[in-house]
Amino acid sequence: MTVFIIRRLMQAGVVVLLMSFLVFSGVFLVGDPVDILISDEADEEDRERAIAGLGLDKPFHMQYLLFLRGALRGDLGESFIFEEPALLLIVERMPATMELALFALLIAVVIGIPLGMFAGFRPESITAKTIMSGSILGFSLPSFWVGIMMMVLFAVHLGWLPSTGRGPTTEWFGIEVSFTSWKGISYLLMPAINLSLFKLALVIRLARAGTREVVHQDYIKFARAKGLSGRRIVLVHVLKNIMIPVVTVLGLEFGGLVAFSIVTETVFAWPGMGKLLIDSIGMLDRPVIVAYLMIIVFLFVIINLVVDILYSILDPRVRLGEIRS
Amino acid sequence: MSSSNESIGAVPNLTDLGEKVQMPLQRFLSDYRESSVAVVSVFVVITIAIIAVFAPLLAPTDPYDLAVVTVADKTLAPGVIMSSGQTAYLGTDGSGRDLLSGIFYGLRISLGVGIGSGVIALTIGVFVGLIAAYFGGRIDSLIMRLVDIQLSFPAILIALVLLVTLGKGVDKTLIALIVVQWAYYARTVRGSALVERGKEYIESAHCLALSKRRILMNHLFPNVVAPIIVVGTMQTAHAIALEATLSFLGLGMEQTEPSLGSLIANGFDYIHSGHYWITIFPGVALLVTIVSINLVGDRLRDVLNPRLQR
Amino acid sequence: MATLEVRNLQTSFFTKAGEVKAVDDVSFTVDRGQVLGLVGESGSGKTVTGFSIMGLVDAPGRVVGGQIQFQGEDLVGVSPKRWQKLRGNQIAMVFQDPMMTLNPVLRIDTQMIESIRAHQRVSRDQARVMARDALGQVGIPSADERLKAYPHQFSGGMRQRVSIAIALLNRPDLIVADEPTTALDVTIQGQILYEMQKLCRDTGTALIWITHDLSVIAGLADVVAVMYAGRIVEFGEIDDVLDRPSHPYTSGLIGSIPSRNQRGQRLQQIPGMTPSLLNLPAGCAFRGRCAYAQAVCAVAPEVSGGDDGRRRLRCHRPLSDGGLSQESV
Repeated sequence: MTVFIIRRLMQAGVVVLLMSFLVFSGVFLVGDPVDILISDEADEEDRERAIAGLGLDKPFHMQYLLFLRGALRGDLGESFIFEEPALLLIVERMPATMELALFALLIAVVIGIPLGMFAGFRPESITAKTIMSGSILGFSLPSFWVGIMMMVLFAVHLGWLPSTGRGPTTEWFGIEVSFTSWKGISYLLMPAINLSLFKLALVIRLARAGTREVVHQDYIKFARAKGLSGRRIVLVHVLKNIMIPVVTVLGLEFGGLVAFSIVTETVFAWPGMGKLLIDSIGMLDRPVIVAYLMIIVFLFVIINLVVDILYSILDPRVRLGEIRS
Repeated sequence: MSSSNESIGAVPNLTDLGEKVQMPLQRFLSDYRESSVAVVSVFVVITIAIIAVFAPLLAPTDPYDLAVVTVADKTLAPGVIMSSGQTAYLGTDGSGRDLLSGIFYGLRISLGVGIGSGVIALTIGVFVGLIAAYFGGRIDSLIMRLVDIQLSFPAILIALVLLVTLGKGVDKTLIALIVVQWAYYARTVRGSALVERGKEYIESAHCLALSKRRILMNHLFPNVVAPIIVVGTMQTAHAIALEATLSFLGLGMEQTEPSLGSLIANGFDYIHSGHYWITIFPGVALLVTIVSINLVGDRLRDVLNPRLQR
Repeated sequence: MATLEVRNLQTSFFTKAGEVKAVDDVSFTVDRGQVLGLVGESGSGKTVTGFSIMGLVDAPGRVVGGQIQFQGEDLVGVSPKRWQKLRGNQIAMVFQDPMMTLNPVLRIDTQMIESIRAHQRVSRDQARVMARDALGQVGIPSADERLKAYPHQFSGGMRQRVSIAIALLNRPDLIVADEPTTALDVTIQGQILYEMQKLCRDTGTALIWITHDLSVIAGLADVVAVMYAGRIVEFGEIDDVLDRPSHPYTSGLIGSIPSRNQRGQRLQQIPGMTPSLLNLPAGCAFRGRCAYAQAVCAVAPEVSGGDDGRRRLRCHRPLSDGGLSQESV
């Protein structure tokens, strides 16, 4: 197990290095780095000083090494607008986004797996068909559209839930969270549901397909031949098998959730990283944009790593295969 | 059953005669007609397409004719008569433009960008995918590594990065959507083509010493048409949704060429003031477009998938 | 009293193409400690017979007639709750493919302990001890360690031993073994046969051994039932049937076993294929493949033979007088 994790960590490091190179050379190639890293309003003197200061007169490989050195120290540039380190700005807003994404994930799993399993056990029932039609909608509707409709219905028309913003936060292990109070949850509910819809549809599909495949396996019939209760067969024998694809895909999709929170945060004015990105784009705050990209790449790599490890815990066959090879 | 499988999944043998080629189409149509929802969806899609193409002729007013549009008409409720004397059946938006006409023109842009990007991405994807499948080896693994890396990031993120670098506009949105989509087609085509490549009729084509180009175009290509049609339909709906999302975020279309997404974004500013129609009606238009295309695609997948055939 | 007495069992599958009579009018008895061999080609209904006895026939199939008397209780139509109590406890089953019968994501101990605790009020620790003993009983070395393993860490033969151990856990009165050695190497097959036989003798468990291979049960079973197209065509004590087969089909099966003495000779075979159960020909189902078929075979043969259950036959043209008074032809 340890061998496996160390091996995965090393792989992750290589991928981050590779992606940092890609982002850096992307910035280097696509536009004049001076334009991207230095404010448009800076005058000629400032520009020259900045160019020298940033080492932009040096050759490409030297610049990359300097960039790497900065990145390793946690220095991804300074925001033009806030005049604060870009990394700090993003990290400050990260808890809000993570809270949103984790809740969306939770909703997708807690609602999606039972619905999907039901549809898998009784594929011909009307309930199952309704669930599956719903999941097609979840896949095809643009999430900003659903978000607006939810807001019109629940916030503007019915007045049940607050329409925008984040509720009061409390500190929890040094992180600001809002789900600890009912008021906080009332703010969190709509954005989280909105963000979860696509994943919910996905979980339903995966759980249904998994269930349909597993129920016909011999080991389920053998479990029945052992005289186990239907409850135990469903909750242990079937569920544990379908959790493998669900966890893998959901884990891989967590990055997608964070990326898609850009849209949800914009609709519901949720003060997270995604809203910061859109605001920064609007205000041409380029260092923040570059920093956001680096962080999201890093996040994707971390997610892949965690999923691999989780996957190996859930499916013993993978773990052993990896160590042997 | 087996004979029909072959005729739809593949066009394998050289002895296929005219009458045999006719069969799959008839079979396809009768299979498709079994779902009434899917049939209705086709008519909805056709209607939307007609509206999009003939928007200037069908729209009651030209919403971008500055001589007609006046701010005095702004946020009129549905059914109110505008200062030009025409009825705004769906109301007017924040700039006093007739919403119905705006939706017609918006459909034109949304559909145009969605289908246009789809067709170009499809052409690139098919070409690249066939090359990867046919040559295999290092070319294949290089192309597929690129595809995998791209697909491991969400489409919206890639489109966002491109639009941040390129800027707004129809042409830039088109480019972003093409870049986002080509990889799906490449992967689909390569997958299907690899399956076909292993089959004996390709072997026999090799034995006949046919040129590589000819085998690629005349033998491999026809067999990947069915999956491409399915993926293409679904991708078009995705592209339209993605464009709407990008425009909503303020990154897609310029305000002078609003798509459905831009219309919804404009209306979003008014939902708290009770002018619900400005955002709802373009929203409904977008919904109907996306859902009907998806239903058609869903049915096509069921009908064209040889594995599901009874 | 016999452990199991099956009378006129009928199990059908209701498909779109019509009713498939997978098991049709099947009767047999198994006594305490006795081994019954249920022999037939694939599609003859032997596995469905096994599942019927376990109450595991799934839609679109169901038991449509007959009785399954298990220790005096008719199991046809008992409640699912009752079935749950019986299965794994008094009636256990071993499946054909050991690679498929153990849940790949659960450890062996989990799968054994849950089986014990479904039927006995014992603590987890007690159950673990019982599981370990059961593994030892079927010849798995270092059972303590093996309990913590996952199924994929076992070979096919080991996995089949584990499923046999699971079947034995609650000391059942009847075990239905559906071709448990077919997927295994011949040497392993021999070991498992020997162990199963010994276990049944020792504990008095009745055993139904389903197989397509007569040679497997030749040394194992006490009685044999030969199935063809959903019916039992011949039933009797194993040596009796093997020495003097009466039904042409049984004779054909025996003839198609390769053996050393027949070296150089042409192996016998039964011509043709098993008929589709959807449209069985009228009369004897074996008629089309039978060298002895006559006009009379167009009428379905009734079961002939003693009520003592020693030898029964379903044929108009038996090869030898297998201890029966021959039917008039």
